[in-house]
Amino acid sequence: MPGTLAPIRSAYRRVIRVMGTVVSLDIRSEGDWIAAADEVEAWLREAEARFSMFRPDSEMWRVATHVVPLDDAHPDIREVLRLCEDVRDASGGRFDATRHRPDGLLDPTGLVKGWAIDRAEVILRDAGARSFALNAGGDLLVRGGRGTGQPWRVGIRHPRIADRLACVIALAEGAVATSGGYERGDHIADPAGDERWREVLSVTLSAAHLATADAYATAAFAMGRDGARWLAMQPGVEACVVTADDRLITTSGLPRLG
Amino acid sequence: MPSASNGPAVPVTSPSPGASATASAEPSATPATLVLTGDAVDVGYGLVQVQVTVQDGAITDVVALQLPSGDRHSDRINAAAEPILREEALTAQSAAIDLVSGATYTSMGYAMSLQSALDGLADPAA
Repeated sequence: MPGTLAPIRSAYRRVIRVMGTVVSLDIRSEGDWIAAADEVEAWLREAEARFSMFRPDSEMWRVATHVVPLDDAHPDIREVLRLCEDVRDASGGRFDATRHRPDGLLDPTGLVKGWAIDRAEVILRDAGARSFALNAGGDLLVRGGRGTGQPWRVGIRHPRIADRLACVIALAEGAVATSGGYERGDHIADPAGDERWREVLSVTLSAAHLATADAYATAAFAMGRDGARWLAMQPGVEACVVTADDRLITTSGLPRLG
Repeated sequence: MPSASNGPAVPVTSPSPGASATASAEPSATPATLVLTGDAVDVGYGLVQVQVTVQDGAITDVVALQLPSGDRHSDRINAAAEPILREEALTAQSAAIDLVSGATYTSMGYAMSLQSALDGLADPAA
């Protein structure tokens, strides 16, 4: 790795394989965090079991296939689907859980992971952790700085070179989500079908919560170059977009380190 | 919204001393960049003066040089009708970081990711 790794003093670290990706937990507050991490891990597995669209026995699958009526579904499912509708409306349909799959089944997967991480944050805070980061496959949430009164240094991956960065931002608290075509090229969400996403390589944004940050990144990616402008108009959102012609577009309030 | 047409403005070819306030640290700024400084205007409760950066005919930055508190500010005026975006050439950086945001990787992709290096793990499952 080209000089990218700083010495890191974590009080506790755990890597959890769940939801088809890997969640990295990094707690900087001093203390014994094994029980809290166990609780986070159990919660993420519970959310995966409830929401998986890869398991025909999941409750979300049964709701999507109308085996279980929405009104009878678990409150978490109704909450996630409400959030999906909010982002669909805010994005003019560029994020649309009803139009993500070729088979037309309702699929909130694009929002569930971030939403589950937001809940995991509450678990950690309730356990007394003040300074921690959760990174769910590249979509992340940080709280309380990195433990020395300093903000977390969040690298934004270079879309063409996996071990390089397009830019670095400083964030004490908040969520950062990136959507791009370079990791899961077959999972491009393009409800409008106009392939505007080809104009950009990746879209990254910071916001207060990860559930909506993740979904907004997905929506902005589908907008292509116009995604940067759209994100800049969202309250509480800062963004950086890498275009297919190797330009970096950033909002003026993005707290950049490099 | 304040704009260059809102009264006398002084066009300055970039780079200029004023341009440094825009932090558009692109050394190869295109010649089409203009930094326009408006007159200080009394808005009733104090003076307002703004500096506008125009690139290829589009406003790319607005900086308040004076706001009614009387101090010199570098606050961006976010109420501008056009969102303020900066554009530069993409670079491939290495820097000290704590974690990495990127398009969602699979468990397999994780093994190849900077985040896995940061987590300090060899990845036996990959």
